[in-house]
Amino acid sequence: MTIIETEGLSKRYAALRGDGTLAVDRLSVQVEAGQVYGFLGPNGSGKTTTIGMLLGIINPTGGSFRLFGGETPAELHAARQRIGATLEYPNFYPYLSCRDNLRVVARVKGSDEADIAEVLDIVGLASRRKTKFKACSLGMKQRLALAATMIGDPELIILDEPANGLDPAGQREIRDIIRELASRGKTIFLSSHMLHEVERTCTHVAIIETGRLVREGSVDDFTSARTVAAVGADGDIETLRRAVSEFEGADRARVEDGRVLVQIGGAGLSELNRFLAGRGIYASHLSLERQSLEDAFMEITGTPEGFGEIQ
Amino acid sequence: MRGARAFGVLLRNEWFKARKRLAFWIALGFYAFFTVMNHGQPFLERSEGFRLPDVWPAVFGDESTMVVIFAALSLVLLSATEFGWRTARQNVIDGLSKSQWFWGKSLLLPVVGIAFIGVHVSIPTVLALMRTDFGAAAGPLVPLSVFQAAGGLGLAFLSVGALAFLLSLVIRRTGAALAVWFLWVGPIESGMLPALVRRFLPDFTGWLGYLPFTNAFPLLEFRSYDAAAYERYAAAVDAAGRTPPAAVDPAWHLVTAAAWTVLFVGIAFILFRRRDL
Repeated sequence: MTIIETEGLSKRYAALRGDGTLAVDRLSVQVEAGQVYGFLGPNGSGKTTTIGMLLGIINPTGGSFRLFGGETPAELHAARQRIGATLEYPNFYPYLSCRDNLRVVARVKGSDEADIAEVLDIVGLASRRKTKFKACSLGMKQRLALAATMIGDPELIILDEPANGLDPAGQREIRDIIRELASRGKTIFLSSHMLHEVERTCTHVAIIETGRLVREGSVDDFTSARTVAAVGADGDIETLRRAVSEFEGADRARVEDGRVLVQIGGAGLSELNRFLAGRGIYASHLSLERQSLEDAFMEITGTPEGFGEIQ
Repeated sequence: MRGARAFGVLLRNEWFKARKRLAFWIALGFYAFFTVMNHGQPFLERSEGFRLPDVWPAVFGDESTMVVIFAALSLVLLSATEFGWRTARQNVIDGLSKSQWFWGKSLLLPVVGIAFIGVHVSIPTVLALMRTDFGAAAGPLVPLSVFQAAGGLGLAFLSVGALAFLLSLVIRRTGAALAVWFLWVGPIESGMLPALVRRFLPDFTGWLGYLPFTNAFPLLEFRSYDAAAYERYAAAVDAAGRTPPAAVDPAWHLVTAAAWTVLFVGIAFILFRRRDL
């Protein structure tokens, strides 16, 4: 079953209040039930705007989308009752306690208030349930936002940078909760800068840049699309890098941890080894490595500029 | 979530958020204190007119302007902050439609109005009750005109409060919305606009009485609803050597107040639906 489907979805902000730019440009993606879908892109690429349109807080200026197959305003409203979501930073009433904030959410979702104790327990806030939101640390706020998404046991969970601003321990907690949700079979739509975590957690990934879909596929498609050879040899590493660069089909040779990493396309290691031997270079280390999602991301989006929070 | 159930949830949520908000209780408490102070002197001095049913012109009079101002201030406080905290967008993310959020928030108009008008009426009523000689009272202690005056006060607040509500949703900042609202009800509607109309459109001077805040004034006066109260007032003014103003028929002002309320809330709804959160 298709849970999210966008067709040519576009958003151009009005020149009067925004800068008139096209934030999302004819975006078409599809998320199936049970997928953990990573939605990646540099800062300002249109991720949050896209999610905002799906959640009904931003009006699209073009294209269409369906949630749980529904497209009309009434169907979308009904579909949104089956979604738990956070967008950017946690937004709650500062003068209300964690529990009271979740009461507001539970009423909106038509959920049993008994859910509140359970979700507070899952995110580790049970003992802080009476703490006012304004007195919470950022980590607690993020966890409360995650708790809010779980109220009513939604089928689709949309998370936009759920670990923003958290220390490594906090990030790990969030990651564990997401994995727990994924293990329960929830469909998860995750926008994150934590590429290592996305690689480990997600089943599918879409990369957008300047509002346009650049590539979409399974995580395996991204990570095994290119084979990376790691080459080590005695002698000057720069001489090795230059020699490797001249190998036919070699691309993006770079030095990393005293080795040269290079994409070798369809060629095998034995051909590369023969090529180097022909140049009088005898490899002391030669192995194949899968391209990481981060490598794929950098390759697709060009430069790491504007993506300053790679974890 | 639809129909009566949606209405119930929205009302419960708005009241839950309001009653947990210290600023709301401070504003209401301050107004209660103001009301006690306002009626404290005649109460302590056992003034002749401070008993039922003579007290009503003191309850529904010039001081009623203050209840409108306090209630409108609280309304802005409870509405505009939803944008600063981004909880309006979160409520929609959590499952309310934008229309539901709007109508839920608009319920604050009657809720806040009832709370403040309740304080405004109940405090002097209780104080006057303590000074009432039930055996000596001629006629009903709470005549029908009291309910008419309370309704008129409520409608007056709705019309002026709806403007504050509109500004809260359009400007989305508490301070700025309040500033613009005060600017309108003060210098603009009471000063600049009448001056401009008298100067450039003298034929339309009569219409000035139907501007939102100006239109509310006749609705605040008990004598607009009670002929006997008007007679007593006119006699007192006459005795002071001045010409009493003509009696006001509140009907057109009530209709105008209702029209302003519908207009302001309608504009707020259209603009809110069109804008992103």
